[in-house]
Amino acid sequence: MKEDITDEAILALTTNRDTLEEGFRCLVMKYQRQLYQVIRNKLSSHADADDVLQNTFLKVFRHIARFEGRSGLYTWMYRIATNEVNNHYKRENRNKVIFLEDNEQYQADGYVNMDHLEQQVEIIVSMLPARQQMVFRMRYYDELSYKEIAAILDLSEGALKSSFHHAVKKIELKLRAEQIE
Amino acid sequence: MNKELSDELKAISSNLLPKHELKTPEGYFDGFPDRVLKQWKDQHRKRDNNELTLSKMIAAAAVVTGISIAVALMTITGSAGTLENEITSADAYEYIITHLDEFEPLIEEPFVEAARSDFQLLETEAVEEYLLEELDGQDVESIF
Repeated sequence: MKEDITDEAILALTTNRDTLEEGFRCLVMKYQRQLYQVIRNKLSSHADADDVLQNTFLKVFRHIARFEGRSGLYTWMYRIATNEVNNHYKRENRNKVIFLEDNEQYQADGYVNMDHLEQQVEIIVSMLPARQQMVFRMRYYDELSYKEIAAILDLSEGALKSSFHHAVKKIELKLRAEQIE
Repeated sequence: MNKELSDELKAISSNLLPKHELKTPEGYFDGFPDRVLKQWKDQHRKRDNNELTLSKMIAAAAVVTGISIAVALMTITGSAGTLENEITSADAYEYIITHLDEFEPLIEEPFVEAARSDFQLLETEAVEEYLLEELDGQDVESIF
């Protein structure tokens, strides 16, 4: 199964001209679902997500030779995907830009196709402090591990865990309050 | 949602349920790898073609420049070489003397006649005066 292949094995395949295509195929098959969810959570349509996902992989293919392994392969691709989402918004000239590095807030209306509870959660999340909001989004929506988030934000895993738990508690309290009202 | 995150959420919250996975068109992930690889190949081919075109243009420019330089060098060395290296003035003089007959057709009769008439127009006294100056007082016959 191509999805079970290790990152090291994929990288080894991409270093050889003869196995380059096979390496790329393994890479796509392993991470397409995960990256699609990350991108789709930030975009309003499947067509846009498909476009951004393709651009993400094409960029990964172009630059994989320069990947130095200082972060995990997925963390590196996650950054590329996030940048591609930002580029998409810039191209579309919309105001829902997500600047990961600048800690800017995600826009509450950036997520669609939600049920009522998810919409409520999104509104509450958009009111959280910037750091909690970012950690919550990366953990809850993008399903990154604490290790991966730590590598991206340069924070300790303990601090991230604490931020996420605080965010979840706040969301829970707000949801309860709204249910009582 | 992955199991680790789902377990963590269950442990800290009863309200915040695992979010729904966003649905994709049927078979989307089956066809996606082929589509993205095809796009990559197309881009790669296009880039290769552009690089090839550029290489051809550079090669053509290099050939034209090379030929131009070669022609220029050949022209310079060719003209100088003929005069300086291949035929000396002594050789040329000797050739003309030994092949004087070959040069006779080049001396046109009207030119010779014109020169002769011009010479006859000169006054004898003027010629003598010129020669005395040039010879610095020497006897005219001494130069022959």
